Order: sequence, then structure tokens, then C-alpha cells
Amino acid sequence: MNEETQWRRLHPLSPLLRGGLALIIVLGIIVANFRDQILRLFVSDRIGDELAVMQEWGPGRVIDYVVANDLVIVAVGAILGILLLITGISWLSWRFLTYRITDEAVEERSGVIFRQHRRAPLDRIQNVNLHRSLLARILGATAVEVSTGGSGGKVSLRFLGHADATRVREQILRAVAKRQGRAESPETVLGASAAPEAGHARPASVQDFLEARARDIADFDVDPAAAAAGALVRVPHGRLLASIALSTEVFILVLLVIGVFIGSIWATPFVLFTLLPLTLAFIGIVIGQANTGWGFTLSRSSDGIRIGAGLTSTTTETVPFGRIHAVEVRQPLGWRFTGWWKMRITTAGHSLARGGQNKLQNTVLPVGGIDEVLRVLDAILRNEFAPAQTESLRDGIIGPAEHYLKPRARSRWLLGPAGRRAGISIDQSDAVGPTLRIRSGAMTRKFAILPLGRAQSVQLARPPLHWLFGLAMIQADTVLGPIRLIRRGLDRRDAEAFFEELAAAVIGAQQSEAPVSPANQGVNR
Amino acid sequence: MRSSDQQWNRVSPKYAWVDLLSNVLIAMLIGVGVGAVLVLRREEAMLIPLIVGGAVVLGFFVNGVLAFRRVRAIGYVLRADDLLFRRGIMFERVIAVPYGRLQLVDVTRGPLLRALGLAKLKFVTASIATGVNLPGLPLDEAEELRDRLVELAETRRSGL
Repeated sequence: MNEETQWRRLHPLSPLLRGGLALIIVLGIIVANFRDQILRLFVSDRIGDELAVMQEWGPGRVIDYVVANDLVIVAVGAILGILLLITGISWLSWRFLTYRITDEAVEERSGVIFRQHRRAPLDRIQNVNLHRSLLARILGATAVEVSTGGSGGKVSLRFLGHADATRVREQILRAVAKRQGRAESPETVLGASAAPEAGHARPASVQDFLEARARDIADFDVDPAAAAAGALVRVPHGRLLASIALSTEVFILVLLVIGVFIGSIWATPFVLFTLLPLTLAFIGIVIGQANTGWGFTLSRSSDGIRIGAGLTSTTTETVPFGRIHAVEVRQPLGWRFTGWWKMRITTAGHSLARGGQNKLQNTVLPVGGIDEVLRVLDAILRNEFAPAQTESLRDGIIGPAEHYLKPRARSRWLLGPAGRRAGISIDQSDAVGPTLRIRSGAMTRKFAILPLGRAQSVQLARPPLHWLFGLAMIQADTVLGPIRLIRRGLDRRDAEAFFEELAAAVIGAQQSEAPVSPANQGVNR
Repeated sequence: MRSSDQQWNRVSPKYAWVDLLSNVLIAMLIGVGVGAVLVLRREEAMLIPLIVGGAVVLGFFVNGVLAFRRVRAIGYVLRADDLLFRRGIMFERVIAVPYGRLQLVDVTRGPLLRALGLAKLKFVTASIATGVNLPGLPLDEAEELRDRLVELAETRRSGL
């Protein structure tokens, strides 16, 4: 334990990986531009002359000049000098970048001249992510990101060896669990991390090394204990591809392509040139969605849920229990026939930029049937559902939802077809505490859950149109995230009564869980 | 108890003058701008800027007149475990914030508010949608309320 709390260094290749992409691009440009001149220098003048005819201009001239003036040694020396300088600076910055995990915080010290010391207190840690870009995967490195509640407050350790990274994550999560006063038997957690550690013993031969590397690259980072317990959701590749094909984005794209063809027949064929950007957009969407869903696995470990996915770059996110602020289940129109749903969560610490940009960070199920949705909800909300609770959730998502408060007839001018599904309810039966449940959507069906212990405030609002029809809307505010908890078009009297009930339920939930979250029963089975 | 039949604490009626004055100032600025355009461009196509400018100025004046009604609509109640706040006539909104969720309480005073001896109280939670502002409290009342709320928040604090 003592060794674990000391200051440690990152993976020695991390400066290369951080500047990785830029370096490769620069190298690529140099090679592409100077290829001919280098060829001519080392191979033969004859080939070079022919090439020179084709290339009368460009940076190649520099080399011609250098060769003509006998400056080759100077030039090579200069290049070597620059390389040495870069290497030296990288080495220095690596030497000076250290991190440690203590019983109070995760800390990072960096900077040679301007020293920086970042500290993420364990109380504030919202989640721990492992991220591996393609290059990092090849080199066997992994970035660890520790996010706290603030939008900029984040300690990122880029990069660690893969085995080190998983060990660091376990250590952090164990420290967080200990800090939160949960009676955690350390064996459970160690058991979870033991397997990867055993798999990454020091390589004895080149073959062992390569095998270990291959395992690293393919590692989807599923908690073995959870896998054994079967608390696991996997998304098959075929279903993911089908779900992308049926997604709204692809549907719109297909419409656009058809439009372009019709346009090319009726108007001018030059319209066909817009197919190129459309194709690029299509590829972008497919790769983006595949990266958030490829090989998706969700498992429940002793301290939180773990999500892993990725095609080219993989990300594994671990969210401790009690840090999930809202869950949303949604079904785009195209998925209604297959009965698929997508699930997202709101957690604190995803800043506005990331909340919008990085979709993986919010997805807890890229595509799945209703049974998987219920299983994921079970894993997220941390309770072993009694059959009645599962049924009430199923009823809320796809059933008639009879005990929900629904908009009355006069709201139809405001809500239109969305009014048929609309409903709102407070459920007191969950083990996680009371939850607010909101149904909505006409084309895209939605169902949102907010554990009331996480609500920041609740509102009742009457914008002009609502005011005109004698309606009101109920809104619950959470930390910044993709999920909006809002029910429009309720009858005013209903909404006022519901608002009082909701405000009282929020107080009740928050008093019962303060100051320490309740013991996580049913997890360490 | 229904939120509609609460005994609401009101902000100072003097705040309506601040609201009114700032509205009138903006209206006058726009009026002057439009007037300048009209004077400088002695052309025939001056009907559109005239209508637009007139409408904007009129809108601000009506808004300013409504200020008194709007300020009367602002109210707050310190209930046992949460702060209840309401505002707006056209955009009516009632917000309940549990004391444990208050991250910080700000007292700010602009030049206009200071001239009338008023202050503005701003409450911040972890959600940006909460957005509770109590403008136009007398300064001593604002400070007293702030201390009271901070104390309440401290005793009921509960993470995020």
C-alpha cells in the first residue's frame, strides 16, 4: 500500500503519444515532399532527373540548394540538433510529470519551469475513464481520466501502460469507496483487478510480448467478476450495424441522396457533385456511431457501472453508484418496428462541450431490446428489482402507464400527437429512493428517470401559451447533461398539486441520504 | 399547502423604478438612434425604420409600465426545508430549491440599485437551469437573508 501512495511516473512513450498525431503528420509531409530528392541523393541521378522535370517547384528546391552548396553536413546536423532538442524537452517534461493516489486525493504534478499541481479530492470524483486511441492501443498505452464535479476540474494521466492504467483505476475506485464509508471487502475489488494483472506479467520472450500486446489491443476491459456473475449487457455487431442503418440520421441522408438524384435529372447534372460531401457525412456518422457502440459491454462492478466500447479508439468509463443524475430511454421512429431503445445518462463533470461532443460519455446502451433496457436500469439504479418494480418500469416505457399524471384533453392544441404518450409520475418504491419518471415523444418515444436525491431544484412554469390554455409545465433541474426532465401541457390544477408533491418528495429523498449515501446493498453478492 | 396560496415575501416596490428606468433608458437610446437615421437620410424609404423604431420604443414603454405589476409578482418564502421562489406574469415560474442544494449566495449591487439602497440576491445550484434571482431587496434584508440561507445550506449539505 505504501508503494501505491508514492509519486509515480507515466509511460515513457507518453510524450510521443501526446504529440503523436502531429509528429506523424509532420513526418508524412516531409516524406511526401522530399521523397524525390532523397531518392536522387541515394539512388541514382537518372531517376532523379526525370522526377525533377515533373517537379519544378516546391520545398524540394531547398534540398537542391543544400546539395549544391555543400551544406549537407550542416543541414543534417541541424536536423539532428532539433530532434535532440525535442527529445530532451519531452524527456524533461516526462521526468517532471508525476502522479500519486493517496487516501484523500488523486494528485498530478507537472511542468519544468512553471510547476503545476492538480488535486482531485476523492469526495469529488465523479467517474474514472480509460481512453485508448488507435496509436496508443498499438503501443500498449492507455490514458486515465479522472473527472470531478467542476467543468474544468479533471486530472488526466496521459499515458500509462495498459496494465498500470487498470490497476490505477481500481486503486482510485477502491479509495473512493473507502472514503464514502462503504463496507467494501477489498478482496472483491482486488479479485476484479487480479486477472488483468496476471495477464500482464513481465514478458519473457518476444512472442510473449507480442501475445500480451495483442491481448491489450483486443481487451474490452470487462470486469471479470461481473462477467462471471452475468450482470452484463453486450451489443452484437450485427444489431449495432442494423440500428445505424435504421437511425434517423441515415434516413435523412438517404432522403438527401434521393433528392440529389431527382435534382440531377430535373435540373442540372452538376448537382451530383454534392454527393461527395454527403458520402463523407455518411462515413462520419457510421464511424462515429460505430465507435460509441462497437463491442459495447456494460458490467456492474462492486463500486459502480463500467461501460466499454470502440472500434478504432476504445473508451472505458466507470461511474460510481450514486453519481448518475438522470437516465433517458429513447426510441427513434425507425427502431419502433424492431423494438430497440437507446439509453443515455447525465453525470456531473461532463462539461458543456463534452456533453455535446462526446456522445459515448453519455451512452449506457447504444441499442437494445426492452429486456436489456430493464437490465441496464437495474444495474444503474443499483437495486435488485422486485418483479413489481420491473413491471412498473416496463409499464412506463412501453405500457399504458395508467397511474401516471397525464395531460387533459384541452392540452391537445399545444401538444398535438405527443400528448398521447405524455405522462409524469413519482415512484416511491425504488430501493434507490424515490424517482421522477417522465414519458414523452410522438415520433421519438422517450422515457426519463431522475432519482429525486439528485434533483437540484424543481419548477412549475406557465409560458404564454400554457397560460392561455390554463396549462402549466413541470420541470426538474439536474447538473448539466443531455437529459431534460420536463413535462409540458399539464392541467394547471394537476400541475400545482404535483409540484407540491414533487417538492416534498425531493426533500424527503435528500434528507434520507445525507450525509453519506446508503450502503450499496445487493452489490457484493 | 398550495404554492398558489402561500404568504409570499415581496421585494421592495422601489425596485420597479429601477426596472422602469432601465427600460426607458433603452427605449430612449433606440429612439435617438432611429431619429438620427431619419434626420441623416432625408429619403423616401423612411417608412420602415419609422415603423420598426416606433414599435420598439412603444414595446419598451409598455414593458416599463408593466414593471410595477412584474415586481409585485416576485416573491419568496423560506419553507421548512426549501426556498420557494416565484416571478413573472406572462412567464410565470415557481421554483423550489432544497436548502442543501444551494452552492453559493451572491449579493450584488449595481449603481441604480445602490442609489435606492437596494441589493440583488443571486442563488447558485449545480444546475444552471435553476436561475433564481431576487432583485431589489433592501440591503440589510438581503444580507440577513444571505447569512440565514448560507447557514441553512450548511446544516443540510448533501453532496451533489
